[in-house]
Amino acid sequence: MNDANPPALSIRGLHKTFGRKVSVDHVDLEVPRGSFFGLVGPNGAGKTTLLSMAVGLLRPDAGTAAVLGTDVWSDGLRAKTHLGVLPDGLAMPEFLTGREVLTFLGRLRGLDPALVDARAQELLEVMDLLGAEQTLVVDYSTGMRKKIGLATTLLHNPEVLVLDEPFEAVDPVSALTLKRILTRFVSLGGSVVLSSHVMALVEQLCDTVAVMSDGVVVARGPVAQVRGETTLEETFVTLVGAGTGTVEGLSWLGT
Amino acid sequence: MVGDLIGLKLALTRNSITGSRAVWAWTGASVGVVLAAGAVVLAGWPLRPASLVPDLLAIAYLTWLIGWVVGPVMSPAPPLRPAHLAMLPIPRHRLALGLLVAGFVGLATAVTALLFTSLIVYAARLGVVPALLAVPLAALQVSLLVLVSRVAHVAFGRLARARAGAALNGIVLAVVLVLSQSGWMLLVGLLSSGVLEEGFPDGFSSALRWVPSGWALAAVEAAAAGAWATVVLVVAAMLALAAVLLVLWGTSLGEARGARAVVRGSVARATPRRAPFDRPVGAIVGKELRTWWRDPARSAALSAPLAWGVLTAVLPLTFGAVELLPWAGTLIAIMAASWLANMYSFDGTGIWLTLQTSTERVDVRARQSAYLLVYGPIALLVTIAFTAASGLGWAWPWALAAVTAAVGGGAGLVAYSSAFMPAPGPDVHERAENPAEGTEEIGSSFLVFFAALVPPLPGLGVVYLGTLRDSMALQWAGVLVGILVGALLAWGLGRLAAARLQRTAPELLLLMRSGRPASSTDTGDEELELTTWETTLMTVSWTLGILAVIPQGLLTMLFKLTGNDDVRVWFLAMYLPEPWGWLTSIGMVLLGAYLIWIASRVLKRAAARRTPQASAPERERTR
Repeated sequence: MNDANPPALSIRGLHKTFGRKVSVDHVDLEVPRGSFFGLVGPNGAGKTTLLSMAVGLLRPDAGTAAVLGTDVWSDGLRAKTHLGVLPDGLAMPEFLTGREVLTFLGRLRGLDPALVDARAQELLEVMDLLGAEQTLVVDYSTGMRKKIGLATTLLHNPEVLVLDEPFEAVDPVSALTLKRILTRFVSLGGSVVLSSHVMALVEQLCDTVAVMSDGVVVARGPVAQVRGETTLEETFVTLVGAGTGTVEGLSWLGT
Repeated sequence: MVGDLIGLKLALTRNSITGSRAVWAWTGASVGVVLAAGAVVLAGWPLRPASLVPDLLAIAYLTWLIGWVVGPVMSPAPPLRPAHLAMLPIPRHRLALGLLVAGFVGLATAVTALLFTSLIVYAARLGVVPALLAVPLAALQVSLLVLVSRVAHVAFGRLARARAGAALNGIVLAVVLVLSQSGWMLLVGLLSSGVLEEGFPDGFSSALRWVPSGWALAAVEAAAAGAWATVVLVVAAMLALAAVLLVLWGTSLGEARGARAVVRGSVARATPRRAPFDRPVGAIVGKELRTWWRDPARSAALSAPLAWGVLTAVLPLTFGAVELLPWAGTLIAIMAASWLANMYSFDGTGIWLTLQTSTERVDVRARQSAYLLVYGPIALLVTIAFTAASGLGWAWPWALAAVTAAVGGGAGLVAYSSAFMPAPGPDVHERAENPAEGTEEIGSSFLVFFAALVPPLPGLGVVYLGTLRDSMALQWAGVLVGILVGALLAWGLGRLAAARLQRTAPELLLLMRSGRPASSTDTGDEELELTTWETTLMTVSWTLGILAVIPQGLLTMLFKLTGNDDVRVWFLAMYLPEPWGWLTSIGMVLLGAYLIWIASRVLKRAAARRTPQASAPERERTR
């Protein structure tokens, strides 16, 4: 590893078992600085587990993870100041409003109150959440939860974003805004890692991709290289293996 | 369809009631059978005056009604939920009827049916016609209770969505606790009021018959008196009530099932742009206080200890004893600690933000501060008000020494047990049917309750010494000791908790996420595999042990010390002449301690038997 220009996210041998099931099997992964990195895989492939371990939310059985060269587990505080994380399906401070959540997190991160206030206003505007000023997060819809989560991710202006299923349940208009924000963020030198099962989205946004299946990375590299002559979707199905069911199986359907 | 639903319900019940829950279910059923059988015997007993028999029966019926109403509220959701069948194309009224009939199949209904045979027994004493009438009426009355229970379950769940309703739930829970722990005080009041010699006052007797639980009894009595118009009226009322309840319940089945209604979901005005606290600790305290104000589950956590402490202290007034009043605030503080023994479960997976911002230490301290800010003033104010109201001048240093230590100690204990014995709770937005629904794991609450009794002891000891030496200064020094002990415990235990959370926050998150501990080594509270025999042994020795130590042991000592030698009720030691009374009290404490030791040994043995592989979680929860 080159210390002068360390990778945005460096994963070395991360491993996790739950009971007898190996969820993530000694995975190595390197996300170069300034890249838009897509992690794809079917349900239960271990994407969430891998990303959780990489950002310090889940203790690995083995292996290390570093953000911009700083180890997430031994020097968490420093690593996490560079890091914006959107986990999938975790609770927020549910009984606060969107603005209160942002203000609260700004204070937790020790940011200047005036700065937090300005950024919160802008983030709520961009995420189209200003109309829900009086709604508590607990009563947000799934899409709104995602958006407030994304806002908290961006609040402290991190250099690396790790987003677990960021576009799930987000409406097309907000999704478009978000895509623009993320693309601009990368063009300015930031790095994004996102997981998804929407291949078209990954193909459209990401420059680099890794395919996970059954806890291991089965393919990685620039999007063009991984998909080859076909689409990413077809490559994906070939890599992780298509289901055994055939359309002919449900001959009675629709008759 | 009804047959299928019954089969489904039995299967679900079999799968959900296992281990210790099965023991509880069967214990409860056995106690219920004994009580119901007692009512049947009572119905045939020639008591003097004669009016006492139906009045006592009516009280029993009313008690059962209350049990049917609050029982389902306190227990986890019923096994057969309407939501499971929501997408089936069955007309709503048929589904309601089918679910109702399936709801009848169960231990509780069987016990209730047994109870209402007492109505038939009593009616038989009144004549042949009332007896014949009593048979269908008893069946109708049982159906009414079940229906009331169903509707109450829905209503309470809906109430809990609003803060006030959740607070009410907490109070109901507290009332049940108080009645089960000190219901005997009502008995003492009853005995000393002379009711058993003269019968109940007329107003009370007729009130008992106005409550729906007494309607069948009223009809039977009217039949015996030949007042047929009344009989028709009462029976019609029962049928009408049943119909109304059935319709109400049927309507509730048709709602968007499983979806959480937005009721609490707003704040009065837009959020101010500036928060009053700039530093992390202030930010968390601010968030906590807002959450205390807005979260229904926390409203219940606030109202329940308050109601419990106040009621426990007030109940002895039924026989004119004011000695418990000064302790109300202390009792609130102790129950509050017990209620908050798992404070992180209120937030579910929300702990991830603490992890991401590396604010574990600050978080523990801030939550402690919020705890003190919420419960401290309440406990102190109640202590001051109730001590003043009791008129017991000597009680001031005692009450203040106890309450300060209990509040401070509580702040330490909740942090400690939350960090060292965490149990998973549902995420707030997943508490679909009852937003006040919390964790089912109550082991640590139980432990904290008893641990919270300890901090006041040093201060009280000094006050006691001051009383012996007749030194006012020494007595008030006891208050100082109480404050010191409280502060020390809050600081010290909080420090341990903060260090622990800093080490194990990822494991806490995993626990909340998966509902299971990460591995057998880093948390000590996972479920142990106990055989039925061990569970029974543990439950029995634990229950009897506590009964022996506290009411039969320590409480009788307290009675003797305070000169209340005339309180007897079920206290063995109070019936015996001295020195046997004292020896019995001490013996009870020792016996209880031995029983609790047996219970803990069962647990230890089970823990030693456990292998790490056997208890690993099956799988990660994937979404």
